[in-house]
Amino acid sequence: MMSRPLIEARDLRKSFQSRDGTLRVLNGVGLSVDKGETLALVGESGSGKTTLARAITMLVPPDGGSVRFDGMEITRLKRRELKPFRRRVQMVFQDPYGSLNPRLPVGRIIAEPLVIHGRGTRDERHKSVARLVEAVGLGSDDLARYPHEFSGGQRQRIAIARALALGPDLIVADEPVSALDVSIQSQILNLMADLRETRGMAYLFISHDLGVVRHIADRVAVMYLGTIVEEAPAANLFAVPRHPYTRALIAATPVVGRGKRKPGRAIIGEPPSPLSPPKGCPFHPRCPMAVAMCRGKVPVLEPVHGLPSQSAACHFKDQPAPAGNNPWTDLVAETKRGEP
Amino acid sequence: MTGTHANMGPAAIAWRRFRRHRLALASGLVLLGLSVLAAAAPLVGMLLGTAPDAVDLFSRFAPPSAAHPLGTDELGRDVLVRLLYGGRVSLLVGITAALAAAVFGTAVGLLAGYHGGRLDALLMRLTDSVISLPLLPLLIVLAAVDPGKLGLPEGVAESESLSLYRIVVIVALVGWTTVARLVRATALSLRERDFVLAAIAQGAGAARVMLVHILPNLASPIIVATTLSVGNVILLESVLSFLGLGIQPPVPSWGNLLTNAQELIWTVPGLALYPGALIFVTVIAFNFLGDGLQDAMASRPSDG
Repeated sequence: MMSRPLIEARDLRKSFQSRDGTLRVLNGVGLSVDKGETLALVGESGSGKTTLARAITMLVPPDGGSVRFDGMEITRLKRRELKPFRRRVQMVFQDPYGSLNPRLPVGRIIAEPLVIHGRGTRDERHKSVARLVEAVGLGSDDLARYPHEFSGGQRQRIAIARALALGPDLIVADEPVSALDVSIQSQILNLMADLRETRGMAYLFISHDLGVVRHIADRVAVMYLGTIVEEAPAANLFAVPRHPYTRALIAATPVVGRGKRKPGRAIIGEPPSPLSPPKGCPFHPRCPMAVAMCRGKVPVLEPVHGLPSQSAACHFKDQPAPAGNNPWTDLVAETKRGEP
Repeated sequence: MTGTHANMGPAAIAWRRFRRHRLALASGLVLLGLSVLAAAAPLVGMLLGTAPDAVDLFSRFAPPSAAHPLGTDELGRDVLVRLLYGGRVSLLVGITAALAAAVFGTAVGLLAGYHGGRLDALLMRLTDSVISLPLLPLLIVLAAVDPGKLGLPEGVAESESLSLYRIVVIVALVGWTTVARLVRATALSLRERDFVLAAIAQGAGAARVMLVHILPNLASPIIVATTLSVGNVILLESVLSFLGLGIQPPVPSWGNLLTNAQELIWTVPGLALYPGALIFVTVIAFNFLGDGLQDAMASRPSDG
């Protein structure tokens, strides 16, 4: 038997009530992350990525389903009982302007997890904090300054230092670079990759951008309208995507570099509203391969025939895309000039 | 912005912005001056060789002179000394009552806003009901309560400053609702901010989240609201004292000095003019100060 995953979520469900009806954000989502592994969770905005991250970390308790951390069910724990779990799972948020308390100096922000979990004496904490800021590439004279004195990239470094403080087994990073300038993004990504090398923790790395996760992810899970539609080792996902939505996402990623340049292609149409999700396959209204069956029957996330490490939720997942020409050209349209 | 604000905490930035606010700065100085004068009232009394309740029936309604810089009242008491003593009472009552109301309102608002749900509903209905109470009749009833029958120790019940304690308690009892609502609304929005989620994700308990993460970010609205309410409390005190329900003579307050003066308004207008002007200046200065603080602290430090 394989060793058990570090964290495993099954059939997570979460709805929110809004004025216009019930918003079903998570429709039975499952995923797992092994020790030391990086799982990237990718999807358009509104697909439920952030809610999934918050449900897994019990910041937004799920309506149904289970989350097991290191074999222990955590969804039914009370806030106090979650504390050992909180020590081992840390978060990095998207907006480094919002995730740091503006009224606390940076040294106190980074030391806070240590204080909460009663780690060390004041002196020992000072030393840990000094080591942490060094590890994320900031200076120790920055500790007395306030968050507003730092740039976005520096703030995200501070948030990462805080997440590292307790030596967690898993860091859930919710779009950690999407609020940053492109020139800063790769610095932060490299920092996160380096830290994983030296410290060996696992990442659940959430992004709307496949290009960003390409180099950092071991596995990629693609989310669409509250469900996982495809999950595969990163290399497979980019080489032999089996869900039309994954293909569309890959096609939408612009490629840069001399001789390789290729404009991004936008996916046709808007994602359907989670207020009234389509019947059958959630992707069928935008899918060029959709047939009558897709409108009636919901495809299940199952291993792809011949590729046991890859799963997809598509009725046609076992038909590889024909080589050469692109069967989903209808699916994507050339991005018009001048459009973002 | 990194350069100009290097090594400045949020408080330092707020102070820098506040200094640019001329009117508020001047108001702050006026209030500081008034407080110092009021605090020095016994000293002034000593210098003039008189006390606030030293009656001298031979020199009633004396015009201003070296011995009595603002003249004397209908009992020959020194008007300046009484005004300064009255200022002690009025300022003390205003500030203490506003602070007490702020502390209670903050506690209620923080609990309601952070916990939400039933506790929030309960506390907010309580707030609504206090707001709906007809204030003046209630105050009249409360002011008429005999503290001796409440089981208070005799020393307190008989003390001369009883009316002072009483008015502080009354004002705090009805005045906390503004701050409670303000704090609740701000706490509700702060609760959803990422840094609060980050603290919860780290395992921080409710008390820690409220005291370390939410309360410091509420400091500005609370300070502004409290400053503004000091002026209101001073007005309320003068209304109550005017009705004979506030500070009881012979202890002077600006409110009851005004009461005394009402019969003499045509003969000796100064007696009404001085306390009236002081109330006016103080209340307006607290309002300017509050506005200035609001401008200085309203936006996040990063916007500066």
